[in-house]
Amino acid sequence: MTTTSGTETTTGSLPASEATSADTPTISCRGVWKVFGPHPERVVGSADADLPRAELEARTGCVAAVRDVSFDVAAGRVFVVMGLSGSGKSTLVRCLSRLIEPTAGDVLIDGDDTAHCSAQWLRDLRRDRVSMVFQHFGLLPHRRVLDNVAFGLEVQGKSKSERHARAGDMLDLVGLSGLGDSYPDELSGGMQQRVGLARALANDPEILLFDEPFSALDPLIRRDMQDEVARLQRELKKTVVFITHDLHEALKLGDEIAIMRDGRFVQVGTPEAVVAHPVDDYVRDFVRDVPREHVLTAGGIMRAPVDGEETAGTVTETTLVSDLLPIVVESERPVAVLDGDGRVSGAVDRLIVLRALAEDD
Amino acid sequence: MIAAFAVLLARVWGNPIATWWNFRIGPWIDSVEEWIILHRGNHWLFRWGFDPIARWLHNLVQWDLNALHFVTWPGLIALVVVVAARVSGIRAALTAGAAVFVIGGLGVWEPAMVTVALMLVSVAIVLALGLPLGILSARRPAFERRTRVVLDAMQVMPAFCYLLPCVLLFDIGYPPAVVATVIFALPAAIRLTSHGLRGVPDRLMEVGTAHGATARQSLLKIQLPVARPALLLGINQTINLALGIVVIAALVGAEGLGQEVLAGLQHLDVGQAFDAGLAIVAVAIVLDRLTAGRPLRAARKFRRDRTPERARIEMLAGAGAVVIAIVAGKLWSSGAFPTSIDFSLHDPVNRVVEWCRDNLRTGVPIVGGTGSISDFTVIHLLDPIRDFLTQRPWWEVICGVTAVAWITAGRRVAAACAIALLVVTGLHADGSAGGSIWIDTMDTLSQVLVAVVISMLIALPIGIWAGRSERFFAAIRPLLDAMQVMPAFVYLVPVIGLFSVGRVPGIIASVIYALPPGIRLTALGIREVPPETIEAARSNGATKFQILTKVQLPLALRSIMLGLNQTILMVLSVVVIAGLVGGGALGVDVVYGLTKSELGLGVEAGIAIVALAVVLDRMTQAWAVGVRGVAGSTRLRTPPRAIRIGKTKLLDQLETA
Repeated sequence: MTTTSGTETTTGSLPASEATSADTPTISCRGVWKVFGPHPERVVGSADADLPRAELEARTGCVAAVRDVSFDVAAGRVFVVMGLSGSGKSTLVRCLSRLIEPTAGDVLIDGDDTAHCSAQWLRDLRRDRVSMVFQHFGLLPHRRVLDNVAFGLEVQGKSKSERHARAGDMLDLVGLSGLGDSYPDELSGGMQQRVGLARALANDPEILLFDEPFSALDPLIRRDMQDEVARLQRELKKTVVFITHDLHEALKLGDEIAIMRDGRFVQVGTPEAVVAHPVDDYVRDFVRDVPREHVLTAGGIMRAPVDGEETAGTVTETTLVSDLLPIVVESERPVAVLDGDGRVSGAVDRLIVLRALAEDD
Repeated sequence: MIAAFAVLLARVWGNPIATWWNFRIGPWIDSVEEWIILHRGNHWLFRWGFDPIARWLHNLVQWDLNALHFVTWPGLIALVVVVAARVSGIRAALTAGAAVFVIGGLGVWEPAMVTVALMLVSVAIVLALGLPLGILSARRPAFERRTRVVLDAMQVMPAFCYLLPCVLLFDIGYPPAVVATVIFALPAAIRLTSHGLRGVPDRLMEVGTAHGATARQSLLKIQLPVARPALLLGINQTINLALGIVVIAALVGAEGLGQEVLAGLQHLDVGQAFDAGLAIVAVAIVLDRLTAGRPLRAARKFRRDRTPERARIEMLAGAGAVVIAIVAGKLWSSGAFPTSIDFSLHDPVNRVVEWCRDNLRTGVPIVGGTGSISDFTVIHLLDPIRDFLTQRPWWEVICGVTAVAWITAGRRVAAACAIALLVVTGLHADGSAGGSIWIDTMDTLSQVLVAVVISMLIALPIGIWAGRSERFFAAIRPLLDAMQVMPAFVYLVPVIGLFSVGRVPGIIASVIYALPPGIRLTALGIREVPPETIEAARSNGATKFQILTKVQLPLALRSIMLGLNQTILMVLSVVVIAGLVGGGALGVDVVYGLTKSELGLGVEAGIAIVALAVVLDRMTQAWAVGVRGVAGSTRLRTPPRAIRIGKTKLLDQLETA
């Protein structure tokens, strides 16, 4: 698994959670399987499990939605799972809070195993630590917006004044001030999903799960909502698992991206790594239309520095290639690349940039 | 084998009745009745079982009746207006108040109060049982599966069939009426509750789980409130069903408006029956307005505008108005409805009936008058079919029906039909035709078939028109609703006026009663053809007629078949009432058994009606399932956001459930 170097996430600003130590990932999946059908446990780990979907179904009557998926998400990071419909990503995200019981494998939240716990523990986990934003918003039609946002707090048993105050704050946060008295069907799709977002944030969870939250929205509104999530994430620093079928959305929001196909992770890596080095044709197909200069960074394409070479100007490792282009075009000489501490860590020249943009490996 | 079968056939060859077996159900029932009459006073089953229940029910009704008398008529009007205003809004409240006033003005205040008291008790019991059972069957599919057969039987069986045992067990009076009403309305209450709850989409239920809601919280905070509009419609529907049967309960001495209608019919005093029938409709309107609720927009506005202070003021004002009205009622003529207020239609109706009798019976140009139409129908339609069915040997009829069922509906349905009819051949109570129940059954079957054919002939064109014209559909919808709410008795009134008594008025009453589902399901089927499909046909250059015959009708066929199925069941459910006005056959057997304490005969005739229902229902249902197209039921799932579901849709869901 690739570790990221391109984005600056400071772990110091994390909310102090008693279970979180520096090296315990907030979410940890270990060999998670979900098989639907008769005797699902027989499929797990068997030779059948590697069969294509149709063959597996013909032979065992089972559908393997998630096959042997493992990943970690560190606190405050955004982990995006990307795949086409039917690839098992929605099932996977439901396994995290055990809305769907995994057939095999472990899910650890802050190091706590969710498999061997009481129903009450699981409820408390969902009430206090994990929230979810749904594809179809999941707003309750009979409740006002304010009471929809307050739903999680109501379930926790908070008093009316307390939860309404908190819900009002959340509506302010997502830019819906003053709409608390409306009913969901009186709002536009984008506004409805803002309500869903506010509801997920209302109980101040450590973990936010997004299940294709914007796929039902118009492209323009979708972009607004992505910006909104990016903004909120900068402010709130939640640990996020984000499901999407939109590569641009994944690249925009993800610290790390997993490409999922037929229940398996095909590739896991930083957005840059996925675009620059797709592992197979499937992923390559996905990233073909991505404007590479908006994803690749100087740090990702640079060569090692040569002692004593003359450079013209400097950029940092996180500089996007799109910003690098005008610089190298102006300069005959290579450009020095500085790491986070201001030391020269590499260099780029025209040839390297052109090769990176043209590359189709 | 074959030889033995041939010998058997030869033995009974030519005899319309199977004389050589007898299930002796009637005599057995008679002996049970005798035993019950002998032991009612002292056996533990009655002393510790049925008698206390009967006493409890009687006291409940009596208590309600006393309460209704206590509030007096101005008090009742005030109460109805205040409650309806809170639940359904001002306009509904005024309608309801006016309806109460009309009941008084029709001069049937006392019997109406009895009917209302019976309704209150029955509906309370139905809801107290139906809501929890409905919740249970929504949450436990296994429970739903196991109870399905019982609920089916309760819905298909004519109410008279269990009215009889109810009388046996609970004696004459209010209790059997209440029990029969509960049996009749309970399946609908359970099904509509469970249907409403299961209409709540999984993704909303998941929201609860994802927030850590307990099962109880999910039920109370998500499932029940989201399903609330559907549940309210279910309650509303339950009340309508209950009202229909409370009236029939008049036959077991439960007094009330039904008794008035019945008396009017028996004395051929159409005016009396008409007044009571109007009062029944008024009661239905009152109960509907009390439970209908506000439309979505109005309900939200009401909730937003309603501050706590305003709510308190409204409460106090409402309570004050009711108290003042009660006091006023007590002071003024000691609470009885003043006789000076009178808009009884008794005399004018009777005059109209007399005029019809004198002028329309015969001698009308071209059509020849109602009497001639009636005679013509009997001679050229009813008699040939009846003679054909009753004069053929029984096994020929059974083989014929089974063969038709086998070819059109498959082996299992054919087996069910054969068994159902074979049961009838073993019933030998002394029916109205003087022979065995089989003859009466064939007689009834001939009337049912004619009624169904006429119904469909009328329903199809109207339904097609309604399906193609939004305006026409909107115009006839209230009429259809009223036709179904109104107790079937009421239709008999004008029919008797025009056609006297006999088989034809019975058939006409059945046709009127059975028309709405046929029209509605035809219209629904046509309306549900997707507009894209029609657009595609039009873009291919199809004419209007081609669109109808090649696109709309084929796609609506399934819905139409369901309409046929419902029409048949409706006709069967009024066989008894048709019997009352001279339809004879099974209907009269049941009534006779009920009123003359010939329970054996009544039960055997009841079983025969159920057997007919099984045959016709199974066969037509199989046709409906076998047809490709827009299913009336599957496309009617209530979307969560369509808070206001048309009542008709729910009704159709209920019917097709």
